[in-house]
Amino acid sequence: MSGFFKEIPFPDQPPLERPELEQHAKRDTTRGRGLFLAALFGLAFALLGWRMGALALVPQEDAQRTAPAEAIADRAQITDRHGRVMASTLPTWEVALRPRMTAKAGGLSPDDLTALQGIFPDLDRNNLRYLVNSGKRSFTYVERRASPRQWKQARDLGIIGMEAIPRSDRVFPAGRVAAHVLGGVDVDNKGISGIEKGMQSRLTDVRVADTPVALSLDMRVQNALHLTMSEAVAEFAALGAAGLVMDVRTGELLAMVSLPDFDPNERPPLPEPGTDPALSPLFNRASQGIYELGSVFKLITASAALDAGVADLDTMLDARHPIRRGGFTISDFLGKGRMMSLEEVIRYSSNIGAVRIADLLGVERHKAFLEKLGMDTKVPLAELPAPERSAGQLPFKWRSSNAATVSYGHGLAVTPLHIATAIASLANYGCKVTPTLLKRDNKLPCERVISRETSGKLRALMRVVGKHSSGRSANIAGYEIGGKTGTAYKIKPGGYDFDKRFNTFIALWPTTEPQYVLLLSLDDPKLLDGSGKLPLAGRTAAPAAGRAIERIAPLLGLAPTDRFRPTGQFVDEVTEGGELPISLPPLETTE
Amino acid sequence: MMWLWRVIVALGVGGLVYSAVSLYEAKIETRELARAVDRLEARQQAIKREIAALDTEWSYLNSAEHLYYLIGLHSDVLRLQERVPDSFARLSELPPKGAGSQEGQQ
Repeated sequence: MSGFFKEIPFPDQPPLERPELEQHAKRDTTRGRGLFLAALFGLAFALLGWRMGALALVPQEDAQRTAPAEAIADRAQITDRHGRVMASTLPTWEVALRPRMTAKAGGLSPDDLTALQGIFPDLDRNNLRYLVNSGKRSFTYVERRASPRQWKQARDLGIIGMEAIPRSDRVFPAGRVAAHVLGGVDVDNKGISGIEKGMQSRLTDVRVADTPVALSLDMRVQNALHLTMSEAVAEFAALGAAGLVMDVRTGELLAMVSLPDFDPNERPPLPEPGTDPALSPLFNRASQGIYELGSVFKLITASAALDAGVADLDTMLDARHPIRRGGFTISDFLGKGRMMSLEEVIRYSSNIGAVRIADLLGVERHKAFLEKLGMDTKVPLAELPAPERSAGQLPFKWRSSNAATVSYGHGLAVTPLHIATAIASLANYGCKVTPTLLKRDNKLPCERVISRETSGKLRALMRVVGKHSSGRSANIAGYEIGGKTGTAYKIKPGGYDFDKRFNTFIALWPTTEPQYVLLLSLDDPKLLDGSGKLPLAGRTAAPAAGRAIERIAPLLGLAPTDRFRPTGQFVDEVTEGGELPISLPPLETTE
Repeated sequence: MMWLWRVIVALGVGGLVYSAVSLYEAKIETRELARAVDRLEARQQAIKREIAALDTEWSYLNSAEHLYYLIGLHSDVLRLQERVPDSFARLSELPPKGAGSQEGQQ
């Protein structure tokens, strides 16, 4: 390299003397060193430049991963669909004591203990005094969830050996109202149930820690449903209840309540081994409990037959006599003992008529229709952990007797969420509804389960029940409420318990332009009014559902149609191209 | 040519020294800015936590349980009622302006 700069003497010059040669050589050496140093610096600067360039060109996504360590401990907030906070993480302190250190400094005086007890009411002062006096332990917690104010007060006592470790704690300001949906976290702020577990990875993703998870729930609707169900449980001395409200257009769950419930801020212990977990307040009856839901299934049987074209609303069916199937006699609760149209079978909730419809449908088509509605699988509500969603139980072997009982909702068990999703799909002009607990901005593309025409007929049937039959106690004027009751005997080992019922009412409104489905189930309700009447769904779940709709519909901004929209004959769209009126005049009313 | 070489070397050395000084200054400035960013981020986190605490407190104050308690506490004065289907009204159904206040004065 240095040779490049070497001076070439002119040929006519006299040869250089020795001292001059040495001088030239020295100069060459100096130049060489200088060039070497320059190269070294150049290389160092090139490396530095390359490194700076590389840092500047790091992708944004990777850069966001280098978030401050403080944010890593946080969980994102959970809000309802309108941004109301339902779960949040707040700073707290773990207040601890080093008993040996405290003992060396003179121990705890009675005044100290009294003051500590005043700050931390749950403190076991005798145990703390024992630990300090005995010197058996070097560390103990005084309070694991102290507020900043509590820690400040404790610190001001000046107790030697007392210290605090900062941490964050999950709080649920809405309390027990949405307990089963939200779930809870453990002492390390890790989700252990509900949304907190089902969406653990999203809630702890530091890249989106500042963006709350917006649920589909509307806290006003959730409160209204919770309040109404609590009143119904008290009024009918029920063991528990399940309820939900779903937007049939999007599948969004606006409310989901299970009673008994719990306060997620003070989570109760897991049920004792050997006890029935379904009786625990931690058990979610809406998505986890599977029940025989009774006559609400007649809507599904009728829809299957109407869509298959094997029957129509005016198809006459023989309901004159009880039927014997597989050694069992199937009869009606309040039988008419005559031929009935399909519409009357639903109106009067005839078990015999439902079996006749199932006979027309055939076992294979019946089974396939239930499977198409997802009755044999878990409801695809991925926001909840899998153990909190139960799969429906269809008969293991489909004999004619199974098909007969399934037609009126016995011999198969599903969750209330299953039946609400199925009815929402059938009512939503026949387009499948996928439920969600997350706010959904767009309607899903239509995946058809039944024809639009069949959907119109089903809604007409529901309106008849809601207006003239067992569901009329839920009929709030101006909201065109349709529905179906279901009264099922509860199962006990070896058969049915004919003294205990599981009552359900499923409502749809408005039936001309379906928007919402509400389901309300009561577990073992009793009529305490002294009337001596049987506690059927029409007397328990249906009026409770009516009260819920009366509260919820105005909250959703739905004005009564009879005052604010043109009224007239019940008209339903049954074809893609136009409207066809379906007029189902009221006949006699029924229980 | 010798003078040219010396100028180049001098310029190179000067450039290197200038770069080194600039780099040192940039490093110091970057460190200060990084500290300022850290302080801002810490303040931002603290403010976010405060906002979260206020949001949470507001949610508690706005919770149904708390509101029902307050309604019960002040029912004799406020006479609040739940919103029901009959709560909807057309503008034409509203009482004339001032009618309510006159009634209230009586």
